[in-house]
Amino acid sequence: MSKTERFTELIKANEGIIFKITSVYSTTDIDQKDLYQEIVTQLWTAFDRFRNESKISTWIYRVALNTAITNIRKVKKQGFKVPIDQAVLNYAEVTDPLLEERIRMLYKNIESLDELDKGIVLLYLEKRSHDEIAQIIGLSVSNIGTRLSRIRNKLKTQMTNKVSHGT
Amino acid sequence: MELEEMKNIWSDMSDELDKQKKLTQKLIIKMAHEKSSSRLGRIVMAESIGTVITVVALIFIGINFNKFNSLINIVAASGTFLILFVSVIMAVLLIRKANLINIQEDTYIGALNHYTDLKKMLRFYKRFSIAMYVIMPFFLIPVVSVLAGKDLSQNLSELWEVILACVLILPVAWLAIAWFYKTNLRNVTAAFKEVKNIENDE
Repeated sequence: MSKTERFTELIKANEGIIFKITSVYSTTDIDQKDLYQEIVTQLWTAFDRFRNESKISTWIYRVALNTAITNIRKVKKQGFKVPIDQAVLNYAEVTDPLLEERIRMLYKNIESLDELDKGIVLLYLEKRSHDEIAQIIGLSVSNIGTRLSRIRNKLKTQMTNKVSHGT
Repeated sequence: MELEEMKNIWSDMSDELDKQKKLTQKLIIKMAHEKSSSRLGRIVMAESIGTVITVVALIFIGINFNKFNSLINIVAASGTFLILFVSVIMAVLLIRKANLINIQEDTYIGALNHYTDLKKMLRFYKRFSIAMYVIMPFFLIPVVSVLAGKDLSQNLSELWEVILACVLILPVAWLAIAWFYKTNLRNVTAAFKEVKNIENDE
């Protein structure tokens, strides 16, 4: 199997992961497409250097997340803008209105986090082990646990505040 | 929304996404071979071009230094040389800092820290550029006039007229520089906050 074939197989198998990362780190669908493109380019550039020292998923998450945080863009004041949750819904072709609404709320919650917590939560939602999250993020396993517990509390507080303000 | 609930929704969404594979081999190959458009790459490219131009200007002034005869011209040429030299040093440091970010090998926090450092440096560079634009015309005008074969230091009234013209276009240039660097300084506040949080945790 040639390098190109191996690479395309890898991207096809993980296109959902890349899509979800881009959806969390973009504010418009145009930015998301640009970021997707950039992540695939970076993965291709690094593909030869991947030496199976870590799991392939760890490598993909690392390259994709690092590309994402160094390409964050602010929402432009002008121009056509599609909210990212809508872009996700279009892509995933979700037909269940309840799930649609829950996805919107999910993205709102993720948006409220800072960049570090966003990365940790994303990996947690992806069902990565604490060990793998620690490896990708660069914190100790216990630190990951502590931060997740803080995030949990923060989200609870946000929810309580919303309820008390009637929104 | 609780974290566990978020996990369940994420899982449902992932299932929907997995049902819909949209990428074709052709599209993946096209994306893979596309030239990188990363912000880091753009910063490095812009600074590299700027450095080359500045170095050429430095060499040019150095070669022609004997043409600056009067005190005003010598001070102006020395000042210009110094400002350009400091700019080159800063641009080289900026490029080095940008190259420290290793997308493939860095941990998430490593990349975030390096990126924050780069932003801090860019912010300083922005302030330096703006300050230099205020000072630079006073040094640059006599230098350019000598190199163009017209020594303005021999005609002080004409020299002041040119300097006045520069001062008048100062706000426009200041805005242009500010706009240019603004594109590289987004999210700096958030990044500082995160790094502070990380440091507090450690």
